[in-house]
Amino acid sequence: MDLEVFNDPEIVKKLSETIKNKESSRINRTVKIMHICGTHENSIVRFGLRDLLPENIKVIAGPGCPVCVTSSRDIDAIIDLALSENVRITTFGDMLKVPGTKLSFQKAHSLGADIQMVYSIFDAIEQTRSSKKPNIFFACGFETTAAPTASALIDLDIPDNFFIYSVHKYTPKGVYALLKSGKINMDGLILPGHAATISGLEVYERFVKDFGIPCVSAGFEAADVLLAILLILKQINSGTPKVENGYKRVINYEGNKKAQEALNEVFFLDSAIWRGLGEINETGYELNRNYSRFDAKKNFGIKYPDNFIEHQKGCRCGEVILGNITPLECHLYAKRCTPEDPIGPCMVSDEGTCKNWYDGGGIE
Amino acid sequence: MCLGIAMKVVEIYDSGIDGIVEGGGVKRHCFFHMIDDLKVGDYVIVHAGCAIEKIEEEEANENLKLIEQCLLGEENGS
Ligand code: SF4
Repeated sequence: MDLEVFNDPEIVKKLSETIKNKESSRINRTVKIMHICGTHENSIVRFGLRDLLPENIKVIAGPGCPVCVTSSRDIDAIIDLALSENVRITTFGDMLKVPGTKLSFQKAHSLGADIQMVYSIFDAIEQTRSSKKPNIFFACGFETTAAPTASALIDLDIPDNFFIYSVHKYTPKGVYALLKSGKINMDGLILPGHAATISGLEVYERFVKDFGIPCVSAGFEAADVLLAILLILKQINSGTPKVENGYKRVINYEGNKKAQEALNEVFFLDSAIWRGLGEINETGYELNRNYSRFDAKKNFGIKYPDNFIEHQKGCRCGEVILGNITPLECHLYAKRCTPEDPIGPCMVSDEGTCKNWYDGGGIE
Repeated sequence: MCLGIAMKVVEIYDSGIDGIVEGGGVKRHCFFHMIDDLKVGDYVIVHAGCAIEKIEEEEANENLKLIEQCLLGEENGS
């Protein structure tokens, strides 16, 4: 199967010309198109797609980085536990440098906490087999990562000393709530290719119904992203907003049923704190009663600090995540805040907007 | 962390729920429990050690057709 064709320079050029000459020229205003997936930002920066778009088409990164929306409250709580009890914490590499109120996982590690990086929940489970102490997997990620967590708990033989601290979040409800509260606004939404593989597209119908926003799913090659932008502009021009599938080779409208069943079996949706954005109902995956033996929050009597700080003074991650400013508008960007020494979470993960811009050379 | 990558299934273990995938010259262990009817040679999107969906050849062609249609509309001036 030739998937490289979705990066064919000729196709990419034609798509960008069609966007420019045919669709955008018919719109006499600035159109703000938001994506909500860190990997889309990565593709947009890597392929230089913003340079291929006309002046009046702005593509903005929304709340699409799970690491960036993980609250300091949870980071502080698990670090406190790691420093006070004989436990091992495992988590994804992207989490390690994310600052909590005082410490990051990496700094806690240098103070003696047992914190290990893993690539997946499967690695975390394997590591636990050879460990004598309780191992707690700090499980971060949207539905794309929550589904593997759920499947692993259902299908695998899991050692008794393995636990989960879930900070998994459900994207569609979070973005809908932010839109409803007026915290974010947009003229079109690029749906997250891989998260939507799990959730399916139906959950996005109410974005169209309630806000009249064109919603198009997209893959991660250059032509995929441009196709979604083109389809959104076509919908705007024809006045017929709808949910459209621009990533047919992977996404089914219904989503991945097996993954959805696993999620429903293992988790329920509770209110969750999104870093810098506050509490949002029914967006946090918490373990169901039948799986509570894995729940670190319950089994270790996690105490939440009340005085946690989401963003350090001067860090504008909260506004970056909402797409209200670009990283260049933060005066710490690339000066005091770099991937080596990040001040906010958006400069840490490969899905963080500040990190993507920094790596892409947007440092002037 | 959330980067999903297209990879080819090169081996499925007897359990049926895991095996080996390959992409860009790299081989990796992968879980398949979210996908039915997987065969060696199929392409999947791998995310955090787990295949989250199969890439359908037929749908990939349709995907390409959708792009072509959008571009053809341009050339015909429609
Ligand atoms: S550049 Fe750093 S300090 Fe500024 S918003 Fe981004 S992460 Fe926060």
